[in-house]
Amino acid sequence: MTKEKKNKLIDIALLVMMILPFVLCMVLKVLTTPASEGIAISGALIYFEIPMPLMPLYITEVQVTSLAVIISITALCLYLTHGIKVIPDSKRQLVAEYIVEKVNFLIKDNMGSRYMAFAPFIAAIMGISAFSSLSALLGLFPPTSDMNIVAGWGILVFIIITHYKLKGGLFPYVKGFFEPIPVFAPFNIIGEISTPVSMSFRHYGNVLSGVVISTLVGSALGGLSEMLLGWLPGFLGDIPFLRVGIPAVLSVYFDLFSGLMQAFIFAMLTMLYIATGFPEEEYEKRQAKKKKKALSAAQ
Amino acid sequence: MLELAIGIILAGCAIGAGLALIAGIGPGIGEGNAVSKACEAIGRQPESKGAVTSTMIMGCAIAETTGLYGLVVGILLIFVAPNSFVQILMNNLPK
Amino acid sequence: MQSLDIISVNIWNILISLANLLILFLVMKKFLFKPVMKIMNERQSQVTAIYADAENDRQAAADMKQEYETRMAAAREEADGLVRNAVQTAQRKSDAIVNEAKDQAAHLKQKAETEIQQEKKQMLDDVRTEISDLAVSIASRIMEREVNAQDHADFVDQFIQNVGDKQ
Repeated sequence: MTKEKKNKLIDIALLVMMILPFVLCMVLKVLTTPASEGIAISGALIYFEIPMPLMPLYITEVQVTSLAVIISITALCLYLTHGIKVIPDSKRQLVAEYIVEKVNFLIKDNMGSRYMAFAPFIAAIMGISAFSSLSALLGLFPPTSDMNIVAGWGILVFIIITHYKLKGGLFPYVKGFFEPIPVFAPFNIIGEISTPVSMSFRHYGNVLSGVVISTLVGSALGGLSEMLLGWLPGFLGDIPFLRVGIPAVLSVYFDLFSGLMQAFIFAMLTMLYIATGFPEEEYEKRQAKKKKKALSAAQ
Repeated sequence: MLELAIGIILAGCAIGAGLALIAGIGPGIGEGNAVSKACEAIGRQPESKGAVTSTMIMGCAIAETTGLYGLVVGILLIFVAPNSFVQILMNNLPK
Repeated sequence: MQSLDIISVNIWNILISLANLLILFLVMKKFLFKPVMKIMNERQSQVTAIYADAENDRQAAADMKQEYETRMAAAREEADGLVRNAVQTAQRKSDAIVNEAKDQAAHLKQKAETEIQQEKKQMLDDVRTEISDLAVSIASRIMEREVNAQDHADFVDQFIQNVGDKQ
């Protein structure tokens, strides 16, 4: 009895931990957003800045929302796997198993079973990207419409890709830049660097275009409302009635569809880049050579 | 004289942003091609509708990237570049 | 309050987001994938064990069935033997009974035939006497005066004797 009660309490605490960060973010946003007239397309609000070498670190809405996303996903993971049993008796365990199975299947399908350790990473990319984009539905500034956030992910993915390419040895990696003829080296290098840039710009541009278009449509609807319904007496004339509901239609495409789609595409491209960049033949050759060396050293 | 300079900067930024959005033509044509081919494929093999649709959406989203480059550059030119260009002009004015 | 430019690059923010993704990776690994995979592996091993048990049970059942069938075949053989013996015994007995009955019947038949023969003879004699008497009385009635009774009786006797011999 007491154990059941305790489990229930933990569940409720986890659920609260899942929702509370976003609520706090919304409260903070409402309290700090300056009342402004007209169109304001700008980056995130800066709460305060910390002096650092090179350039100051700005703590903005984006950082706060990212933190909320991480806390929320952690709480969600804990909630899904809390009280997990061999014979499932709760829906959330089925959900957790469904997620894990789907991600594992995706990895096996696109990368091969050698890369099964990447499953949590891909799940993390999908989760953080989807949650960040969907936070726009709550009226928050979506972290994915900040260049820095997506650039960070892109750079991490680029580091992993390069690490896997270097597994075939440094020489084949460098040699790869001078193919098919040495003149192509600059283009190859640009192509290599463009991988993280294009990945992050794709994601960032999609979400940002949604934000920009939503803002433009919102302000246009406000102006239209003032023009059409401005004759209403008293404060009724000041309320932009046309802004109610209509921007939600755009939100379905730009926030829901585009956000989830970009999360999936980012994860997919990560998988494909890692799997195709890995030089299997060179790696096998190198492993065989190493084994031979170890054998001869042992003798 | 200063007004003229700033005006030229603003006009240049606006024209540049407009030109940058020409990049939207490419993905438009490309995605139209992709969707028409997908429609043909579905018409030929209606049972493979799910696979074709998901692949098409994936390909469309990737093809959209070039258009988004143009969009990002356009946004930069309209919202960010004028300020910084005017700043540069102000800093380099002969005292 | 100030806000960032819409496109701004800040190294520290990039590093923070990179670290965020790494942290989330570790969180996913530790809190979602590890327990779920553990549970799934456990379930897999349990299922394997259950299958092995079932296979063992099936094997045991098959063995039992084999034994049972062997035993059944033996029992059937035995029963067949018993039935055959019983049938033979019964056959023999019934043969004996039938033979006896046949003997008896033949005996009875013979006896009856003998009796019938005797009775027939008796009856013939009786009929002969009767007929001769009847004929004599009829003839005497018809020819009361012309033939005397002695002659007639002789004649009729002789005639019937002939008829009886012919028969």
